Parts: sequence; structure tokens; C-alpha cells
Amino acid sequence: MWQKFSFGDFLVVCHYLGVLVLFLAIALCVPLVTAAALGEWAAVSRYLFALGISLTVGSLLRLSVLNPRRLTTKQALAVTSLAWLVLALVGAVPLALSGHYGSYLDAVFEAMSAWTTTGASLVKDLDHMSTADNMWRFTMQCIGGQGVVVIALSLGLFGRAVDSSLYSSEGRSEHVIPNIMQTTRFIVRFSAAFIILGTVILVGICLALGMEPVRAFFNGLWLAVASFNTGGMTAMSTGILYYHCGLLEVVIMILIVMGSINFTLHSEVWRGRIEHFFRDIEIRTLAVWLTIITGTFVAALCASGVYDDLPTLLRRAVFTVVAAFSSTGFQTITTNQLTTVVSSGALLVLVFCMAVGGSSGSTTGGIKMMRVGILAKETIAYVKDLVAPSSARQAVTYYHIGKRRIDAGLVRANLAVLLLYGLAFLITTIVTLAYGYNASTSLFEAASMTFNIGMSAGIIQPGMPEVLKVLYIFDMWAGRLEFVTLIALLTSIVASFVPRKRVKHER
Amino acid sequence: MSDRIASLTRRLCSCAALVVGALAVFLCAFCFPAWAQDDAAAGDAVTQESAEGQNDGENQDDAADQGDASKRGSVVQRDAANQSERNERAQDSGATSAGNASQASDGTNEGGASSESSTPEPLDAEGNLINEGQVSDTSFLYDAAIADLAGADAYYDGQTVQVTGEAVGEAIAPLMNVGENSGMVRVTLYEESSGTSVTVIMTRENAEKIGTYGAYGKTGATLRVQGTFHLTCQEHEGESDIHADVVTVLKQGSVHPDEFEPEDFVPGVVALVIGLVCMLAGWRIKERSR
Repeated sequence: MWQKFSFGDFLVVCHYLGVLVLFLAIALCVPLVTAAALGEWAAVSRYLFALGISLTVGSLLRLSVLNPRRLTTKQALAVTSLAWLVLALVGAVPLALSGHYGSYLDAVFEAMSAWTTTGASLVKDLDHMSTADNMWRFTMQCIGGQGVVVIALSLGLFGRAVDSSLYSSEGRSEHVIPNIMQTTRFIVRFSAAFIILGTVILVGICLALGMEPVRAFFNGLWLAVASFNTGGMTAMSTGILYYHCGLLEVVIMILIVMGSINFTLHSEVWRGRIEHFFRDIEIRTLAVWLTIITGTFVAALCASGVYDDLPTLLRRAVFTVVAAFSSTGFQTITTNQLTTVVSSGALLVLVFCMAVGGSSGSTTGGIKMMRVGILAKETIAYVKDLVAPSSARQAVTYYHIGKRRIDAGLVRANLAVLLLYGLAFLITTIVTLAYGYNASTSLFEAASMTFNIGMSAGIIQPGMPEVLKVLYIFDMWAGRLEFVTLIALLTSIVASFVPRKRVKHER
Repeated sequence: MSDRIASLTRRLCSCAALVVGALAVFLCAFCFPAWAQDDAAAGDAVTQESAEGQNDGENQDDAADQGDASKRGSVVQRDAANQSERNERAQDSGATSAGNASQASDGTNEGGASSESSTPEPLDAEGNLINEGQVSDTSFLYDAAIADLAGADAYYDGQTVQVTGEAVGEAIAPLMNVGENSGMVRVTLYEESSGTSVTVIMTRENAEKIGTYGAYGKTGATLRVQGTFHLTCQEHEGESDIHADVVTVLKQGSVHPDEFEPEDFVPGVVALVIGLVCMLAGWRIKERSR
């Protein structure tokens, strides 16, 4: 039987969405102050307008319930799921007014891409975009990378009326620290430290490349934010290739890897328990998987004959694989090169790499290493069971901050997520193919959207079909929530409109 | 004790497997450069032969290449056909050609012209840069759009192109300013009509001609760049770029910062006031309900 939403549930959800929209108004102050400081008066007027809209919408939504009770699980599910959509709709307002997007739908695509740290973009004339608009894009990436709910919990926006159900429904299954508020604060402080450190190093590199101090500061900050949060957006139309700097790519890769690791493991290493890191199932699965993928991708690039020397080959291949598995999406092999000189085999290797993704409890997308590792262990155990005598019993375990047992419930949950991802990927590929794009490009683009990667083989650009824009927006939204949360919500909403069957009582 | 030994053995085996895998990758990569050099040498020989064949200036080749170029869309080889016709006329009747900038290459054909008394005046168009060393061949592409290069296939690789675009961002210098990188910078050219960009490698002296780079509130200098396009440049880590031979500033850029117009802030102020009123109203209602 599906859980149905009552009108009371709806009002409570509206109230908490209003809280988040008011938080968005605070976040809009960042680009507003940036615009005012740099004298970008057109941007100041736009962000002032967006601020007013956020305050109005947020206040009206909050008025739906004056004194809400503690959130139930299904209400938390609804708040978490709808938060991303509402924030994208409101966050798109200043972007749509900037003139850099063909329509409001394009701006919503950009906002959803930023919130979900996908990184795909429909922007026009990015090189002439105001610093304030770029600051807003990266602010959305920064908040989205940590998790909207995580940020809200760490700031205490929801008060005492919430428990860990809100945190869990955002796709985070474990607490870094037993206390939920301390967990969220740890994540925010840890991320801030890495972003600040990355900014300092990247600003220095940008200055050495010949950029002006103000531009160097903003580019360094934005690159650090986009790298650690595995967002992948850049401030120049040529992307990461604009900087043409191997050292910068190395720093970015380090930030990406740091952001791709489970925050729980970071906490354990921070406390000196390094053995948890090396014994963890995700780290081991990641090491094996990246070795296989990098070797295969290098071989595929060799077959293409694109690069003549080993250092260049390794540099491009390793960076592309790191950007793909972590769902960052930076490209040092251009979209045109991917479709002309690189073989379709290499494209498919990247599709597999994107699909698997990084660590759970990190900023990455994809199916997640934990699930892949657990399913792989369960598959091996199943095969062993087939050949073992019927009296034999085996316990399958995995190591994640201690030894844990793989039970049927865990396998069922992981399989459900895997199947939902696969189904969404299949549907997206078929719809993309229906618009006449070729097979390898469609597969690549569908994987990029479903697993929140952001790389493009040329389909995502201004002027793409509207239906594809809507489909990709849904894919990014659902992918960020790992599909289960959103599918459960949508099904419950539909079920809420189905009238209850009356049971006739015989007298 | 036996558990420790087993654990240690498992760790050693997994480390050994990783090392063997990495060695296999490196061995493949070391074997590859030898194959690539052989392929590159074969490719260079083919390119040289075709260039020599084209430089013979056969009319049939010009016409065939003109037909191929028209299939590509925006690539125009009008002067190649004109040049072949001028060569014919110069050889037959000694008449000299009249017209456009590629008359400069007539200098190579003057030896073949019969003695005619009248020689047309060279063009005096201002800013017309005549490259007297330019040899007429069918690899020269005029006025290629940056959009074409952004979607270029292997046909464009190694071709001489001429593109026009706005210089945006800044001139990026290499971190290690030594060897072949010495004195060279990268400038991004942006084409407004298509929204595409291309990287141009040029000397610092050429980059210093650029007064303003495009950004918010700034329109960058419009450049016309003539150079060799590389789809995957082996000198620059496989990036797509143009190695500029000639850089001409067609139009200098300008700075146009936003002006402070109070009336532009009216919608924002009104929305802000409405939002604050709603917040205040909500707070009052909540306080009264307690």
C-alpha cells in the first residue's frame, strides 16, 4: 500500500520549502554584494529583484503552517525532493534576466545543473558574463555539492522539528558523527577548509599565467569550488583548456579526489584511524576500477592515434578519467575531438566510468562505488553458493569503518537503485536517439545527464530540443537524489489523488 | 600468527597485482610511440607528395579542389580558380590579371608572362597586407568561420586558415617560459554569431597589439588571424589551436561599464519591499497566534 499525502502534509512541506527559499534569499546576497563591489549595476538590479522574489515566495510558503510539528519520514522525503526543484526554479530568475540564456527553461536547466553539481551548461556568450552571474552559478554549485539540506541543517534553519530522516532522504545513508547537526557542520567546515586552500593555490597559478589580480582571484575561487564539489562549471567558454596549465590540472585533480571520498572516511583519517581508509571497500573498489578504466581508456586513445607522446597521453587520459568517475565533467579533450578523432570505443569506456561514479557520502554522482563493491561481493558469494554443498553456510562481509555483514535487505536496496539508474539511462538514450542523434553520442549524453557528470559530446547546447531539456532536467534532479527518493515521492503523490476504495460492510 | 601471515600475504598479492597492471599499461604506452612515429612518417610523406602535386598549379586540381571546398559550406576558394585562370591568360597572351590581394602571388608567375607593356597597379587598399612569399596552392582556405573550426574534422588539420573574432579573457602565458614556449602566448578568439571560440598561439609582440580583451563591460579587439589550424596539436598536448602567422587588428576594443541609472533599480526595490512586507506580516501573524 502506498503512503498517501494529506492536505496537512502538503502544508507542512510548503512551510519547510518556504524556509529553504528564504535561505536562498540569503545566498543571493553573495552575487548582489559582488555586483555592487565591482560596479556591475545591471546585475545589482537583477539580483535585487531576485532577492525580492525569494523573500516574497518564501514568506508566503511559510505562512501555510505557522507552528509545524516534527517532520515525519514521508514529509522529509517530500521536502528534500522538492527542494531541488523549487530552488532551481527560483534560482533561475536572475540568470534568465541576464540575457545569456535563450529562455527561462534554459535558465532552469542551468540552475538545476548547478544545484545538482552536474556542470552542463546552456549559457550563451559565457566570456562576457558578469562576475555576479558567475558568482551565483558557483554559489549554487557550492551549496548543492554539500547538499541543500546539509547546509540548512548545519545552520539550524529547520529548528528542532527535524531528525535524521531529512538528512537520510538526501541520499546520505550514514552519519559522520552520531549527532546529525555535528555531522553537517563537520562536512561544511571540512569542505570550506579544502576550498580555501585550493583557492589560495589556484589564485597563485592564475596570477603566474598572466591574469589580472581580480580575475585571478575569482577564477581561482570558482575553480576550487567547482573541483571540490565536483561541479565542473567554468567561467570561460573554452572550459578548463582556457588555462593550458598542467600544474593547474594536477591541483584540480587533487581537489576532485578529495571531494570524491566519503566524508566519513575523511573524519576517520582526521582522527588518526588511517587503517579504515585503506581497508574500506569503496577505496579498494575505486583503486581496482580506476586502474582498469585508465588502462582501457589509454589503450583506446592509443588506437585513435590522437597523441604521439606518453606524457601527453597519460595527462589527458588520467584527467579525463578522474573528471568522469567523480562526475565533475571537466574536459581536456574537447567535444569536437570526442566525436571526430577519439574512437567510439573510448567514448563507451567513459560511459562506463561515468555510470559507476565515486564514493557514497561524497559530492559525486553515479551509482557509487559502495554499491558496485557490495553487488560484486554478493555475486561472487552467489557463485560460490552454487558450487558449494547444500550444508555449507557463508557470511559475506565488507569493511566500512568496521566489518559489516551483507544481508538480503542491503542487496535488495542496492539492486533497486542500480535498476532505477539503468532504466532512466535507457529511457533517456532512447528519447535522445529519437531526435536523430547518433548512437554513441546519445549514450554518452544520456550517461552524462543520468549520472550527473556534465560532459557533453555536442548535444547539450543552446538550441537543443525543448523535450530533451525537460528530460535532462528531470534526470539531473532524480540522479542527485539517487532516483529512489524521487520515484517514491512521485508515486506517493500520484497515489494521494487516487480515491480510497470503500469497503462495504454487510449487515 | 597464521592470520597475520595470511593477511600480509593477501595485501602483498593485491599490491603485486596493481603493480603488474600498471606495468602492463606503461609497456603498452612505451610500445606505442614507435608505432606512432612510423605512422607519422608515412603521413608526412603522403602530405609532401600531395603538396608537390598541388603546387604544380594544374587547373584540373584547382577545379576539383574548388568543388570539394564548396561542399564544405563556408570555405571559399574563389581566388584559387581566379589564379589558375590568370596563369592561363599570362601563359597564352601575356595578359596580366586584375583584382584582389592574391595578385601578390603573380610575382611568382611573372617569369612566365610574355612581354606586355601594361602592368596593373597593385592594390592600395589600406591595411591590405600582401604576403609576397605566399605561394598559391589549394591548401589555403580563406575566411574560415570559427564555428567551422569548432566542429572541424580531420580535413582541416594542418590547413592554413584565416579567421576573424574578438579577443576575450587575456593572453595566457605558459608557466615554463622556455624552449618552444618562449615568447608565445595563447589568446582566445570568440565568434559572436556562432558563440564558438578557438585558441590562437601567437607571439607576445602580436598579443601586445590587442588593446582590450573582451569581458563583461568590455568589447575586445577584433582580430583577423592567418595561420595553421591543428585539430590535435602535438606541440601543445593535443589541443585544438591555430598557430598564427599573421595577426591584424581590424578594430580596437572598447570599455563600456554599466551606468548607474536609478530607474533600473525600481523593479528590484519594489520586489524587495513586497518581500520584506510579507516577511513582517508572517512574523506578526505567528506572534499573534501564540
